[in-house]
Amino acid sequence: MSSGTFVDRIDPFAKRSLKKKTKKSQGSSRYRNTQDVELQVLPLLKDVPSSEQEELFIRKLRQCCVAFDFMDPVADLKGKEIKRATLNELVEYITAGRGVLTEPVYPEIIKMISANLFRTLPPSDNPDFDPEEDDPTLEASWPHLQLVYEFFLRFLESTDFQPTIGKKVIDQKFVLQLLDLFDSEDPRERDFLKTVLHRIYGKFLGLRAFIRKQINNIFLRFVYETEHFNGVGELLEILGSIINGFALPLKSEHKQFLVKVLLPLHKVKCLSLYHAQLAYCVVQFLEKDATLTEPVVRGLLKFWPKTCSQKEVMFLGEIEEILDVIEPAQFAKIQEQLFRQIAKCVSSPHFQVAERALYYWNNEYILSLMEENNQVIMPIMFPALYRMSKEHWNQTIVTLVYNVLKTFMEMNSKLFDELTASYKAERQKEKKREKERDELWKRLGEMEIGHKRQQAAGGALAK
Amino acid sequence: MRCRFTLRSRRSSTMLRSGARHPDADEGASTSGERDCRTRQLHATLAEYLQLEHKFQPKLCLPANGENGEVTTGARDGAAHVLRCLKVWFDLPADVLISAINLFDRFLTKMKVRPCHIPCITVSCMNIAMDEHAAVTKTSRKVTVEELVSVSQSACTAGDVARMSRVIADKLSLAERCSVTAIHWLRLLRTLVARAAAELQLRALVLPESELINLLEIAVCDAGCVNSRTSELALVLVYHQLEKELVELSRAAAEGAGEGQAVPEDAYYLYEFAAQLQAHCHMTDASLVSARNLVRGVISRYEARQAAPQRQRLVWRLSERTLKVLRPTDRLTSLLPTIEEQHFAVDVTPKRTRSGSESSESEETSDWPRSPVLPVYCDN
Repeated sequence: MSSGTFVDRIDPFAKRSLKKKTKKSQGSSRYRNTQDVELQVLPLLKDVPSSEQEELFIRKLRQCCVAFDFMDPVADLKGKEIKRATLNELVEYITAGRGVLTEPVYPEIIKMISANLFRTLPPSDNPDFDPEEDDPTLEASWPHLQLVYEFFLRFLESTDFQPTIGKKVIDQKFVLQLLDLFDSEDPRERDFLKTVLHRIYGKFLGLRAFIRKQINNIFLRFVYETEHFNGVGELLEILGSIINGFALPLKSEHKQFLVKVLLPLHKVKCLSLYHAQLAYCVVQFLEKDATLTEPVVRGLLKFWPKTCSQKEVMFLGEIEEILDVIEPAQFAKIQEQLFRQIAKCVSSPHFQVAERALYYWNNEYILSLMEENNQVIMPIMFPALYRMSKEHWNQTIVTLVYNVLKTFMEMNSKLFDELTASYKAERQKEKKREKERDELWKRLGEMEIGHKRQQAAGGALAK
Repeated sequence: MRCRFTLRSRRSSTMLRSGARHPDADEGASTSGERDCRTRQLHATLAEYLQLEHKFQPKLCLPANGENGEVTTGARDGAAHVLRCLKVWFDLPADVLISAINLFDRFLTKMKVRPCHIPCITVSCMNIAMDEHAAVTKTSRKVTVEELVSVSQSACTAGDVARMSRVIADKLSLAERCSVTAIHWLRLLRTLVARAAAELQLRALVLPESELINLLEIAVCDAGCVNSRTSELALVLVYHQLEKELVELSRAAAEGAGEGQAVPEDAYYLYEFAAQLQAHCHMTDASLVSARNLVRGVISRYEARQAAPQRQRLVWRLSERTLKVLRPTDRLTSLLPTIEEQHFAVDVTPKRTRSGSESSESEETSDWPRSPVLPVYCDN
């Protein structure tokens, strides 16, 4: 009979599972086989008369539609080189030349770009890819892709570029496919995409609403479903330049976007990857319309991190940036809730959180706002500060707490004295209550002992 | 008509009513014999304080501004505030604070010091005051010199403070017993007035010591009050509090609240008592009135909750990790050029003339979701 059940024979520590799987070069139907026709070497554009250039240009573009397999480093070296040289030539051609962007050329350019860029992104080699820790998997066909992106950008930025012709070929379907590419793990690709999309948004007014809506969808999917998308930072950068250009008064749809999309982006675990760009967007909104301050601050307080200290520090940094530009009237509206949260942060056992919160008192503008409203803020902050002055383990924090208390004393001595006195009175009461409780337990304990002794002494004596 | 200071007055029968007890009465002084003994003790203390008063009286003449590199009144007040903050921080008794400020003022009276030495001198005075207090109360010090130095951010070492303390002690010829400061005067005069009030059966007058001491702290933190005679300062404070309570009582009586008694006429005999004290201590009308005005000014500023004119420059030290990224946008290295809404965008390439049809607003369809419920997938 077999030696035991199947389950017993599974050995979780078999060396087998530790052996690294060698990457098998997977053939892909995307790439042409070597049996196909080799790329023909065409004459250089500068060597042909200008009347023939358009046709040659188009032929070269079509040639570049052929894709090569870079996963296999030795396949088709000659073809790859021809394509690379051609692409290079094309980049120079549209950069230098005038009048080369004729109408027939537009669809050919878009076809070439589509053929090269639009592809299903492969699943990540590292299924546990942590964008903060791990190096990204770079795009293997970058030698060609880079030139295609370069070409695309020069095309869009060319002085000869005509959006009226361009809009026939750069349509919603094209933009949608472009947006999908933002999930690429290769940061160089995302950087190009960012600039490309920025230019497209700038030049095609008819596509703007569509682009915004699609970005909206990507973000919402990211926040509420997948928590995975590599291009959030780049898209936010583009949005930053869009927000910066909003006309006043702000359209309500933009305000909705701020509250329903930008604020929830703060919830995601990997916030640190795009926090700089996100904070910039938020602050730009507030600079455009100060009345948005209240919903923004309320939103941030709602999403305040409860278990991740690093995120708390980030939030505190963002709040300071918001306070840097806040109007005094708006400050008065949010001060109570905000400082209640700050009081909690100051009491945090995580020294970085406490530190970052206390550093607000080194900001002259914030200090002036606090001074104007000290009768509201001091009572909120005082108990936490006073407690921390006696309890915190970290000497740096204790020094910062001293600074803050001294600042408060200089701001309003009378209030400071009142708060000190009432805090002490509270503590006395608490101590008294604790003492009474201890006494009660002691008495109960003694009664219990007494009762047991009575019982032990004899049943007749026991009640 | 100035009569010799005594608790006896024309209305001796009311004042020496025996058996009467007042909440403020000294503990256990139930018999008139014990009370008389206590009275004699107080009188003796008063005489002693009067004799020693001039020894502990500062006489500062500091400029208002520091053009000649001198210590200004502002700097002196700043030092007093540092001492007050340290008192709160370390939970020290008010005696230590008043004593420390007194030492500071006396030292500055005797020596012309440079502004850069003020922090060290300040901490050293606190250091001496703490030692004195420990000696008098026969308790050990709660706070070390090192702690004092590090918390106060005075940029000197414990050794500097120890040396400076010796210099100060030497210059001021500090005797074994601790100084007789404003707080001693305050307590003494308060006790005397409270006993006088008790004899007049004025149970409603409390004169809480803690409040008086708080006002004293505020007063001595202001350079304006420094040169007033300590006894005058104390007397003015006690009577300020007294007036406040009398006003409260008459207001309560007028509103019909409280015990319903009007302020008894006898209360105003306390002013006669003040006159007797004034005479006994040889306080001139002019200086007393001046002290009263100074104190009123300080207290009114305090009640108005004004910010202090001087603010200490504090050291804000952060950990490396936190300093690296203070504001999230610090990490942004570049920004994309702004795209104006409703306008053809300008990117890095040179401007080109606008083609009219492009700026048409009608092309832009605004289909941002308007309803509060956002569709996640939106098919075009």
